[in-house]
Amino acid sequence: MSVKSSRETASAEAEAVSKSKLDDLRVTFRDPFFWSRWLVVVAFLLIVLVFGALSPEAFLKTYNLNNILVASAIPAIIVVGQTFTVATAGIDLSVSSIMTFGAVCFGLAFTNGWPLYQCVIFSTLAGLACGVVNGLIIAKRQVNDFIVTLGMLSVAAGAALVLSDGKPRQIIDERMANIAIDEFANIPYLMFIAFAIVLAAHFVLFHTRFGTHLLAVGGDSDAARAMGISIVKIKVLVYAISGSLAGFAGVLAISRIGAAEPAANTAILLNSVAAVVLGGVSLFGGRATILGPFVATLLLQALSNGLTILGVASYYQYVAVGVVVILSASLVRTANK
Amino acid sequence: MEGNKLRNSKIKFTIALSSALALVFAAATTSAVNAAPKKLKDIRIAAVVKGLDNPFFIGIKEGIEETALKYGVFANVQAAPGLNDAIGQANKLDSLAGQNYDCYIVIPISSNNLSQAVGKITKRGKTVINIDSPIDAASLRAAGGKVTSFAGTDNLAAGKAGGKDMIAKIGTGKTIGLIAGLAGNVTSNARIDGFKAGALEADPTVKFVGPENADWDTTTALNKANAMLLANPNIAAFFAANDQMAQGISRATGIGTKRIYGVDGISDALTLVKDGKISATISQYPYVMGQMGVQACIIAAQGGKVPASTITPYYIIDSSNIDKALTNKSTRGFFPNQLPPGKYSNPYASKIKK
Amino acid sequence: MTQIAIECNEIRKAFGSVEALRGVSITAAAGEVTAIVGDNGAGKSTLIKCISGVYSSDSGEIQIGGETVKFENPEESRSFGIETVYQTLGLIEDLTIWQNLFLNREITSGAGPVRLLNKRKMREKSEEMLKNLDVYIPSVKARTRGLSGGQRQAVAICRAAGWGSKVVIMDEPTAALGVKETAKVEELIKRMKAKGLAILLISHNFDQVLRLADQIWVMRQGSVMAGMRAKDTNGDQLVSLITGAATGSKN
Repeated sequence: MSVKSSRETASAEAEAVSKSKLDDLRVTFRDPFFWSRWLVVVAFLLIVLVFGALSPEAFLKTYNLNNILVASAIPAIIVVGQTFTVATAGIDLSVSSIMTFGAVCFGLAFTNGWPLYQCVIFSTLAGLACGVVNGLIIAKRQVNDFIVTLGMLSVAAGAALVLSDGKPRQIIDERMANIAIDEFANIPYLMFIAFAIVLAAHFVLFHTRFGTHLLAVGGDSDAARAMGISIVKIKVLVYAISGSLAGFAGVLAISRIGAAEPAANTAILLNSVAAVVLGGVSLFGGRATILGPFVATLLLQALSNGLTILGVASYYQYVAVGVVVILSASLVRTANK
Repeated sequence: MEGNKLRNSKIKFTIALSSALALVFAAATTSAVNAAPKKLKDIRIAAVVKGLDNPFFIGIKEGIEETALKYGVFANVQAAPGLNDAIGQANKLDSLAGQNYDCYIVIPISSNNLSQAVGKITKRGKTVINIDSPIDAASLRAAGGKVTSFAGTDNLAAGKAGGKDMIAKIGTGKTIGLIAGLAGNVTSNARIDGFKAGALEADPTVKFVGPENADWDTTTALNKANAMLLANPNIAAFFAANDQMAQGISRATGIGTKRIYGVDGISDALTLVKDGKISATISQYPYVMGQMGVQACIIAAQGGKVPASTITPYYIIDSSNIDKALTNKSTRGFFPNQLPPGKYSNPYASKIKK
Repeated sequence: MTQIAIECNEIRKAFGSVEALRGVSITAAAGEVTAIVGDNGAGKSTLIKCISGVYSSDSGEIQIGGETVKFENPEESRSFGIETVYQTLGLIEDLTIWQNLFLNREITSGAGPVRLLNKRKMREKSEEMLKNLDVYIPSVKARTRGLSGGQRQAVAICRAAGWGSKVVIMDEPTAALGVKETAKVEELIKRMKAKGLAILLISHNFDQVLRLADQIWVMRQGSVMAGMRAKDTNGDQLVSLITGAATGSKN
């Protein structure tokens, strides 16, 4: 009798466990964050599969996947900075101009004979300075971030043109070129650098006090202030990070195109915002992921790459990217309701 | 409890992503390089031009595609995402570089941005033909790249001819306003410098205002011209480094009957010349550039010797020859005069084997 | 003898020409609920903000446990053990419960600007904090967004009560809650009382005030009209004091 009842209790227990597992799954599926992260991964795999199927001999080649990684590295770094600012319910529209400004500063230093590492530091500091200015005006003077960074977009772009006299400076340096060309275990150096930054950002956002405070400020700045968090400090730091990353990305851009170009590049700005949205980061702040926008960057580059290989006219490529962004954003929004 | 769920889902997510990426990399293979002389029907050409929002580059695209059709070869023409997206264009060329094309026709946005990509193409033993805007030789060398042939307008010479013609038409001792394209662009610089040199040669007392950069854009040029006229009402004429900017200048306040010269020869410009709104355009023949690019590729793919460089023709089109220029209509109507009104040399056409 | 946890003497505060507080004096004892009632504009919120450091009073003094204190900002006020549960709760929705409980008080390791979060410790301590006040939340790892109004209120209260506080200020804590949840929060307030906290309660709900409070202060137009023990009064008397139909004594 006792054996029977113990078996009964065992099966009842098992049933309870499996039911709680089902509940577990149900809760996971209800967590909007879960969806925002998965959607971008699913979309990315879908795109890889579709293009792989449409042109297997071209798309799935190591060489080509390499291209996608190389093309994604610089935007990925910019996107990390953008994720930080968007997570505080802000936005940084000046990233592409700061990148150009950083590149021009590098060019100046380089042609004046500074050692390479000093040039890199100079670029990054130039970006940092722009970012700090952004942060101070936004936080201390309480001016809208859209407007401030839009202004900085012009200022930095203009400064780049002034410093370079409108002319690109050639940077012919083997070490620089090697960063863009070399690879290790079939993965380009550029991607190692980018991924290292992505990992560091993830760590900072989710495992440090600064990260928590950042998310708090984005989620509800009044509540954060009430608990004694300095909004000014957080905002300045966040825009400083975005600016520094943009300045550093300028160095990598030089390695890619062999010159410090003062011409602005708006594609990088638009793609950074698109990737942030696609990656599941809320534009209203407080909810963020670093890996999401990273995968989204890969997705956007894979899309462009795939369409190029298929010979799709460039016009349709613009449409395709726009459609993907809008679709993903609306799907994520519905999941969040 | 819930934390475990979230952590588990995070772990599952990471595993899924990593395995997916691993699968993709495993499926990837490397392709072999093939360099034997090819039959016409087997030749594959890829081209990367600047933005297709400019009729000039559409003209090049037409030249490439129609010539390819004529010879029965395959051509894939791609454009950079924007006229100023240097990195994006490099990405595009990289994407195509890994494919099994025999030959690549490139027009770089800046003098350096495609050097690395060209280097990669050269390493794979494929041919690169550079048209319209030249790639800087030093950066090409540093990247280990080789351009088999260059076909483009001698912008310096074209500008010079324009300068001389301008002075002949407006007289000496005048002031000319200069409007340039994207800051630091080689083509723009060459045209402006050439124009100035030609004008100075014809009249050492000529004065210039500018050059002001208008980024190849019509509206920006209009705004710049307005400002320049306001500050210097004695400007007698304008020179713009491309037709779209000349178009903008033609609508400036107070432009009156001042002479305006543009460069390129797009259909809108020809209409404006016909209507007297602009005085002349130094017409280029992008169709011919595209044509020569394809022909050069075919020669290379067939194993022949490709001529190293060719100057593509330019003609000053003004009221005197506008009617003649309006014939030779393009099949797609974007760049009307596919071929110049006069003779020009094409060293490629004869070298193609049947 | 109950200890006086906080005493305000002749607090004055003016905004330009508007005198919000005209010399307000109240006391609140430890282990008791002290309610402050009054019509809109009576000065309740202003008084609370002076106590919690959001405003600094123009004159008058505040004593905590017999010692005179002065603070310029909320952080200093908090350092004396004064915590506030705001009407909007001050919880960050997308952060988890433990993150909210430990907001700006995170347990970290490391030096300088880089502070690593000790998540496990914070989760453990969160569970303790909640247990301490008998608040049942299934998991401290859940995001605050998924909690009901009553649960959020409970978390906000636990946060206010759990940091060595002496005085907890609550502004309309159950205004947005249903009957069942209101009851739960009131139970929680009683448990806080039992732990020796002094609770300053602002509420428009006289039934609630009469249920929970030990001491009641009635304010009108920036002054204290009357103060009495809750058991010595009733709803009608409170109403008439608030509207000014009757005057009372302050004891």
